[in-house]
Amino acid sequence: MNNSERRLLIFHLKGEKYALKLYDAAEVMEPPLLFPIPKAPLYFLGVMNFHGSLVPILDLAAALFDLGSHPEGGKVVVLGIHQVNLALWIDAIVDIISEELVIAEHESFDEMVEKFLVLPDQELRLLSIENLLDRLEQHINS
Amino acid sequence: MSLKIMVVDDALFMRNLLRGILEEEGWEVVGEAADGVEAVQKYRELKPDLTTMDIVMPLKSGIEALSEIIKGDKGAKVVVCSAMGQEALVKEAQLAGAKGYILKPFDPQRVKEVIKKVAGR
Amino acid sequence: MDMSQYKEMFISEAREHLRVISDNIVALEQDTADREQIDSLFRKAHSIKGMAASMGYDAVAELAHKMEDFMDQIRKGTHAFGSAAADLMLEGTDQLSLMLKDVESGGNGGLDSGDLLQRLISQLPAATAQIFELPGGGVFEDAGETAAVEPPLVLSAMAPARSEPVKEKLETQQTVRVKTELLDHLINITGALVTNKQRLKDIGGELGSARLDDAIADLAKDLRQLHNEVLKVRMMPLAAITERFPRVVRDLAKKTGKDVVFEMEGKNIEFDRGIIEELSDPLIHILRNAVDHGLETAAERRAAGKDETGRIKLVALREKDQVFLTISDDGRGMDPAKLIASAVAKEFIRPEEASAISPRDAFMLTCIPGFSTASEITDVSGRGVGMDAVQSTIKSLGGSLTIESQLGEGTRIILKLPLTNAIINILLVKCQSLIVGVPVTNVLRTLEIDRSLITKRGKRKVFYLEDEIVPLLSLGRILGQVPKPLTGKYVPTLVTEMKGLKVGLVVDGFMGQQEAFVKPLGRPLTRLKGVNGGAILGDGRVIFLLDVSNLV
Repeated sequence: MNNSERRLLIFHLKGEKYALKLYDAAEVMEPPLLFPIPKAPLYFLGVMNFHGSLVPILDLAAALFDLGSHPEGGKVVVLGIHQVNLALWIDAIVDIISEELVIAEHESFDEMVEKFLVLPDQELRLLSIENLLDRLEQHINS
Repeated sequence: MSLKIMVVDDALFMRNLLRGILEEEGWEVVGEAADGVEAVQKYRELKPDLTTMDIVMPLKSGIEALSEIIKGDKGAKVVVCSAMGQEALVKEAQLAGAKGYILKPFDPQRVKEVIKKVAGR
Repeated sequence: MDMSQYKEMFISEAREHLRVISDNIVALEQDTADREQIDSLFRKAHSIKGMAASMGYDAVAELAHKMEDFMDQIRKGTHAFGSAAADLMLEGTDQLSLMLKDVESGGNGGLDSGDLLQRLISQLPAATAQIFELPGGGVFEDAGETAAVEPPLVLSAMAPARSEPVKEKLETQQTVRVKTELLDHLINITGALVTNKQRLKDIGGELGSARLDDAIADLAKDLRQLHNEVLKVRMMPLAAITERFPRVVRDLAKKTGKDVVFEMEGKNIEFDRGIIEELSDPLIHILRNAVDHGLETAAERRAAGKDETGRIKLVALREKDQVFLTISDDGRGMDPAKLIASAVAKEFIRPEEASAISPRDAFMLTCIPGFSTASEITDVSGRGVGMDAVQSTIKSLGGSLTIESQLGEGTRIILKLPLTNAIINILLVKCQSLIVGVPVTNVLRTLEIDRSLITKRGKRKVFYLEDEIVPLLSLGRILGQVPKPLTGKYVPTLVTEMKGLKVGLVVDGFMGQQEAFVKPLGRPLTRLKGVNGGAILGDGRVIFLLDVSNLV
């Protein structure tokens, strides 16, 4: 397709390293001004006005591990996927690396993790955005 | 060789497809018509060097339109477009004054060859 | 040659052809000798064949070719167009639709058509026509009178019949195809401008500058004009979705063994794309109900002294900024007393409430989820969406639904719809720290109830609205806020309709009406029930719009 190499965005979440395809991220930003979302589960922290679009912000740790923590500091990753309006509140951005550095992959039994990516010096959990969206949609009215 | 061509077909898809083939060769598609009545009308207005004419069309068939065009302009160069399995129509078109034919699905090379030959005469 | 650039156009044009074909078939069933319909059917099949062959979708081309040949037999009069022919052609149309779907999702349309091809071929004479093998193109040596060609053999058969140059002429009007994203873009930009105007207006209010106010008033005028123009481009005629309705009615009539005439009026009335796309399912459901439950069998109709053929009519009428869509049948009608009894039996309402229900409200009981008037759930309309889903879709579009019925004479369902829902008027409502918007079309009225007039019926709080008993709910509680006891002498309340019944929603206060540009929510919030898009206020605040009918 094009010659830009595929890259991964690595971030911290509750002491673990997660990864996201950079292609799926539209922007990384400081936590913005939030407005409440009526009826939504508590792990939706609120909605922001993102260049004129309404984007809800998800407390990713709360959604993944039921921690229900109110994050302090942290960064917000806005997803850039067709017909998806969602941003993830994570602890910190670690790095952006080339996918070519991945030397091995492992299956994961956690459906929120697409697979484990093994790098020479570390292991990453590749977040399964599709499964995350499915889970959010299933629980959104409960 | 610069050529002004009019494309007649009731399907927008076909008109675009032909336009693509013709323009690739540097020819100019000066007009399009979607039925036989419009074809006759536009032919008079545009006086194209050559016309490609679909046969099965609403209001007035390609053969009827072709006859009318020839009646008004003896030298009209019309190439009919027909589908495989309907070769009988091609004969009929020949009798009505068509100068050549192309069959759907179009083979771009063939289309260009036929047009060049007909236009060159 | 790279054909992928033509794929989208192929699909959209082939679909248009299929729609026309369906229409032709249904029309031919009413008048089997309608020459114009026969010719059009033949031509459309022919067109699809040629287009598909050009794209290299051989299976599509082959099926279309057989359908074309079959129609050719009918053109020639070898076959009559009976209901067997109609079924066969409709089956072919359905199969072609499936193939187009396959193409759309990246396939080549090569689906298995079962024995459909064989059944079409069995209708054709052994050798269809004289086949001349010709190369893909050629030049005639010297055309004209001296041509040395054998006289054509299949001349008369193919000479297209002359038809009056009326209908199809419309197709050649000057049109431009635009990508739908561009249309969405235009409305988005216009929406952003409306939001900004509101912002300026807010600032103007604080500054108290008459000159600024004038300038904003002018801007507002221009914006309204721009909005109107943008909406015009986004408008689509109702015909864009009604094409398949005759087919739906026909298929169901056949299945239920009923004789039905279906008529449509006002198909050229236009709506915003956003509305049109949502209207198809509700309308089809209402039509199916009309055939299945509304109309009686021929025997019942005869016994009632009615014409054996039932009539269903869909009429669209525009009145200023609204459209009334009326679907009427001349069937058995509904009995309000029976509906009320059934609702009591199913515990949707209490026996003591029953007497207070007007016939008009009784019909609306059919819109309560789980309420079905059919004595048995039939195969045809018992599944899928019910009237409750119809009503909530219509409401979410900012419209309303009413039902009129006369026992023994028929039923009428009237949908009142806005022409557009991209920019709508909302009422801003305060609910503790939350501000939400309610489309003005969903607000029956707002009032401040004297607290002493609120009474209890069982466990429920109610109040009297004129002579009607209306239950009261707390909007804050519905939206998940901590309940707060009612203080103050007057209680701000918004009266709306939920599931066909009037309800009072207690709020903390009203903050006025304004125009809002509705923004879609996307995944995952679009699944959130009771919320239907959001908007950005002039001061930059984001609010959500309530979909009142789906709140609880």
